[in-house]
Amino acid sequence: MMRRYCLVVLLCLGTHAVAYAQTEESGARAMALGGAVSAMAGTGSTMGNPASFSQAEQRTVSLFTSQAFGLSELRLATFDAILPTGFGHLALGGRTFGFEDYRENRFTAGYSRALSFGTRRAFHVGLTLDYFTLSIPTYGSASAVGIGFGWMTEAIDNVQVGAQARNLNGPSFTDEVGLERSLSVGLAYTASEQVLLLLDAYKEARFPLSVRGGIEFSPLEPIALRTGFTTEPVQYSAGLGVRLAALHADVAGSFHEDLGWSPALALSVLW
Amino acid sequence: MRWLLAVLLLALPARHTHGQVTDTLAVENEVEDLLEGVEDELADPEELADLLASLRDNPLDINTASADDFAAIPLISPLLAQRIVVYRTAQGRFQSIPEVQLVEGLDGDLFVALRPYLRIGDVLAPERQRASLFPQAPPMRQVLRDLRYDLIQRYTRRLTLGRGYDDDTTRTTYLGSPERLYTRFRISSRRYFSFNLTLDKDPGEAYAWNPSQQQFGYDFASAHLMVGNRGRLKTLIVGDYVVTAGQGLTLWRGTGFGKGAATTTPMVRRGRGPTPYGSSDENRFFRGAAASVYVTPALVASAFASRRQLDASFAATRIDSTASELVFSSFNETGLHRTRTEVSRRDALEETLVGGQVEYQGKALTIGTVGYQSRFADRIQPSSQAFQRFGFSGDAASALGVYGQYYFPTALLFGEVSRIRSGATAAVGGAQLDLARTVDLTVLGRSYPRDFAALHSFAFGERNGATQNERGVYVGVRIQPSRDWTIHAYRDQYRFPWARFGTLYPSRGWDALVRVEHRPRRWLLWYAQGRTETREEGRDVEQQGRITESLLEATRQSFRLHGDYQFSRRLRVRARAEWSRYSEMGETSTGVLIYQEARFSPVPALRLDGRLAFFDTEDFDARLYVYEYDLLYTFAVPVFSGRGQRAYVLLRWQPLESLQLEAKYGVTRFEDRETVGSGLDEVEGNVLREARLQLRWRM
Repeated sequence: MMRRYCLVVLLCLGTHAVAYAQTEESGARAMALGGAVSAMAGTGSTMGNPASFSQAEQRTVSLFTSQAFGLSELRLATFDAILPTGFGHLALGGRTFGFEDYRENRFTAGYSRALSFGTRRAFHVGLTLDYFTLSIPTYGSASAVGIGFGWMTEAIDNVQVGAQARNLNGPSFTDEVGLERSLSVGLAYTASEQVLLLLDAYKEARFPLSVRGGIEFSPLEPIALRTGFTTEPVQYSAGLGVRLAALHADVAGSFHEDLGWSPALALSVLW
Repeated sequence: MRWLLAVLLLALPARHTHGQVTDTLAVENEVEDLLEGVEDELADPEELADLLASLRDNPLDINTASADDFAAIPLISPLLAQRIVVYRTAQGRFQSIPEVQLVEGLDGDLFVALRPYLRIGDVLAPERQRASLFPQAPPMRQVLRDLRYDLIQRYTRRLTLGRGYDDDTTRTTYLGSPERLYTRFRISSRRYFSFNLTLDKDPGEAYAWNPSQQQFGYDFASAHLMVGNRGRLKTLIVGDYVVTAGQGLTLWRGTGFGKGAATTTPMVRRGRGPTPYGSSDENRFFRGAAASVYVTPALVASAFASRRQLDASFAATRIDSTASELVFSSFNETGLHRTRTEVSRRDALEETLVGGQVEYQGKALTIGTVGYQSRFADRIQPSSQAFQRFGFSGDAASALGVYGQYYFPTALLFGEVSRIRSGATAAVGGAQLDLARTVDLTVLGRSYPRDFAALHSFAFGERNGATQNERGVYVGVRIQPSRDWTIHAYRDQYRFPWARFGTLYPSRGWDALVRVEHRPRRWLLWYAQGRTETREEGRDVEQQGRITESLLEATRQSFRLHGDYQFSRRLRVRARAEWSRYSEMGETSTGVLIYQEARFSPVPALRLDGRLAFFDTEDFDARLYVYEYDLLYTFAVPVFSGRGQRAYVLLRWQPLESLQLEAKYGVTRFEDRETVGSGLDEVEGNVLREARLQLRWRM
């Protein structure tokens, strides 16, 4: 009981160590890559760069779950669906985090498309609208709406650049509890068909700048090995991805020096 | 062969007409490089903006401009300026603007950046020009036909106001309203004629009609009438003007660039004699009349006289047996008159100045002398603090300087020596060298003695413009190992032989910068830049129970990664991450900033800029400076410290060829404080908002 009470207090304070950074919530693949996904195509998640939806070639439905530091109270589950249409890509997502004494939910609608601005190249932009709710039975509940924006493009051959900002409008649950605003800028370098290198600078308004990096290596077509790191807080991560026709499965683990391991699992269907 | 090259060059992108809103990427990058060095209050970005604006409004005729005309463009070094003229003399007139790229050192990106500042006159009628040794102004009818009218009206205002704007009769408040209002009207005809009127009211200043105090509604008014480039008459100005001469050691009323990412060019100066003034800085100009004439085609003589009222702090009335006199302790150069105290300093001290300049401009040698004599209506006596021991005192000042430069095809030697009334002598000199096509080197040495209390100098130095109490050597280099890569670097070592503000003892320091720039494609640029500065600072230190002032080393460092990507004509995105570190007495503070910005121009008449920046510094020492886009002809280099975000949007719309409207909205939100600012500008809450509007009409 005491542990749960402490967790409620810590979560209310927005203590960083017990919650993930936003980009790490965009799937097990993202988590294994240190969350350095601002410039990575195909995260398939509404928590990633909104501009990444429009790079999805197929309809995608993903489920993702993780348990921060193995604590059941910090269990996270998300659902995402991306639908390519003739006028851009639509995305819908949901997220739930916490336990009965502290529950955060998010519902997201996103829209993304490629623009060419008078060229033949693609400049992907995306917009998300997030509806957040927070409920703490002993205090009550609150909700807020946040706006997110991102872009992504291939700057030179094999080098993709991207940036995203969440909660641009500065939403808050109450006068004191503002939702975290963030800005991240990243690079993705496709070194070969088998190797992808990622680097991100990620800043949340109230926390120090975090530098993130990740490497994805595909020795064989259906298998991807991944590793990543983050600073502030220092975490190392690793993961494995398997593609079997329309089904993609990813597992990841991230290690925090003091708090230990966080396991994650994701399943996606593409058709 | 040359015609073929000329044809190829003609195929390059042509000049942007006024009908288009887009500026070239290169111009703004270059300006940014120059301005990001401006980190102290001595240089005024607005005046720099004004200089660039007037240069752009009156592009230089590449076939008649002199070397000092070319060198006035901040992107052209005096060495390159001289080289253009030498090339023209040897090869004959340029037939087209792109042909200037044949001048060694003026190629590619530099040409693109320079393009808006250049024009070509009547190529087909060179004979008339050649017939005379002096500039031939076109007939009056044509001058009148070329007349251009230009009106700028600017309104800027903070939306979150400090307590200075409260209705509070118990405490000091500002006398006026919180908006800044700026009006500028100009009639000009190329470089032959201009009339200008600038009116400016700063935030917190009151409107007043008080002609005896030179106040006409707005707090500040400036006007000039200029006729120039007519035969032997180079310039005649009545009203407000500035004078720049040589390296600025004796006389440089106006502003100049300091150290920054442009490592070899801006520190070598080339004065232009008297030039008209139309900016809103309330101090850096003269008021009266000035004239320059060609005695011979190579010899220019100038004379100028000025009488103006300066802001000064009153210290005391001194009474002796025969008379009483007022004594002032210092000049006030802020130009702000918002409170009763500030108003009481307004126009308190009268300065009367006369001066002259003679300059010979030969093919390789330029040599000149400049001097002035100035008298104040009352005495100035600085306080007795150590750092002001050698500050200017008395009621009269004079200075005389000799300057020169010598041009070799691959090098430019330059220097100036100046002596003031008290006998103190200062010197500055150096060389700009083209070691190879790919390596430029600038070396500059300076010696400004502690008692060189020159009033109107503005030479290169660590404290850009403060031409006193400093010795130093600057070495800057620009290396272009290949087409895509450029390395800029400098190191400056300096010493302050006497106490300076905040430091009781003589002190020393050095700073250095390295920037590695890579442009893999014409539309993609990124660079990494490191900067470090170590300086001795005076600090109170406790030793054996007693507090004494000691010298301690303080080091400020920064590292930056910057990317700039022009996706298409309509869209450009940029991103930056910068880290800073400050350490002193074993204690270190750090800071970081990242930003992301985009410029979107859906149609040529419309342009939208937006930026989102997050900053996070542990204290003010680890602060970070960032150049920001602003209204046309204004630049902003705000400083960020603390933890927060900054966002702005800037809209530029040109509905008609002659009309341009701009609006900017900016918001800075802090995470680590409940009030922002201090004193009368202290704002309740953690958010600052401001709005800026500008209308420009020209025909």
